Amino acid sequence: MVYVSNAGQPIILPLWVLMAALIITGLVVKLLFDILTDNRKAMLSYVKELEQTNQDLEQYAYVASHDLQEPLHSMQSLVTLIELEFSDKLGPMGNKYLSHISAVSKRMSNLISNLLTYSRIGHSEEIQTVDLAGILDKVNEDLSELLKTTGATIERKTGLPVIKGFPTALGQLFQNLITNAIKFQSGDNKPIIQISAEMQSGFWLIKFKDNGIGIPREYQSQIFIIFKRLHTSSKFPGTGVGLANCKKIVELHHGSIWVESEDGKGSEFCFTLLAE
Amino acid sequence: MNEDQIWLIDDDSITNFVNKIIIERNYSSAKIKEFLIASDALNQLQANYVNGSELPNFIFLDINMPEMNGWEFLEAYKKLDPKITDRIKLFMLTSSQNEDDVERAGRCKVIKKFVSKPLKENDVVEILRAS
Repeated sequence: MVYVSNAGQPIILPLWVLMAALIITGLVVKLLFDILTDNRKAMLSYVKELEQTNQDLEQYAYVASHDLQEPLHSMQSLVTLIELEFSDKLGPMGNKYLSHISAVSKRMSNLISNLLTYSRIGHSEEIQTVDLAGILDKVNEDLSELLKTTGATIERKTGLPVIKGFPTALGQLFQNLITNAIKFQSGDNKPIIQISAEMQSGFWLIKFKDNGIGIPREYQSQIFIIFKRLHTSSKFPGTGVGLANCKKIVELHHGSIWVESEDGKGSEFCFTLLAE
Repeated sequence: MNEDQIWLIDDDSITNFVNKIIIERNYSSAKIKEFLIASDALNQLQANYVNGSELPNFIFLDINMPEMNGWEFLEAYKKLDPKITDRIKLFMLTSSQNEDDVERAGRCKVIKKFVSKPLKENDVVEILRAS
């Protein structure tokens, strides 16, 4: 091999230098390759572990909610039996205690079935081509009674895309966001929900904007946690699962969800869904 | 110890109802007041102090509540005039099994004791005997 020096003189490298250079290069390449494969192996095993943990957690929630319902149902039946057979002997306080037992066991049963629904999101359906405009039509139809009684209007600011996803889950996402926008209003304010979609680097960014009570900044990160509630049930009844479900559904479609809002000035729920 | 005022702060009305009965069984002369919203109790403390009404001797406070939670209540409570809070013995009463909460309650000086739910008659007897 011939190199040219600064002065323009050709330099002949001895063969052993070339050989040594080749061997060293080879070793470095091999070392890099080993490091990369090791890292890749380690990464793959982490991913596997993570998937397993997720599966275990879902399985756990599912089994737990099933098994927890059983004794609760027996408890409810026994309370009913006591009420039927001994109500007249219990006096007003005894009857009050019983009706409280009924009420709390019903609440617990609700919490458990909500937990079950949460753990099952996306499990019972196949991924398919979904027209979000059609999903919105369907939700509109299902909620027609509620929309009428509350005087709520839904405005489509743009068209909605077609994506690959889980139709039932996406319908639930839309329905949760719309019913929240209708529910969290002050006084007899007429709810207005504006829906828009835009493409942003491979994802659809979809926004549900409302004219409701808004969410103070300090609570905005907490609202997606399951069973987290910001209001007492006398003001706004609920179990605190709606937005947790929304988050899980969006994440199932490789997106993320957040809210932009100020206290008293309405909320804008934004989420992304992977585009085809 | 006659005519003590006990305030229960918990967003669950059935919990307040049950706790009221358990306390009354062991302390029949106590006047018990229930609050479903922590900030209401806070305002009531301030108002009672201003207009010279009776302040509670005991407060049982839940942690996990919507709107103002137990910890947020305590932050605001610490900022009240010490003349309001000096005589009050505050107990954290909660079903939270979170270790962090227990530890945090231990570090918080205004909390007299951390009592785990459900409140038992023994707890009430002990609390009243110690006070």
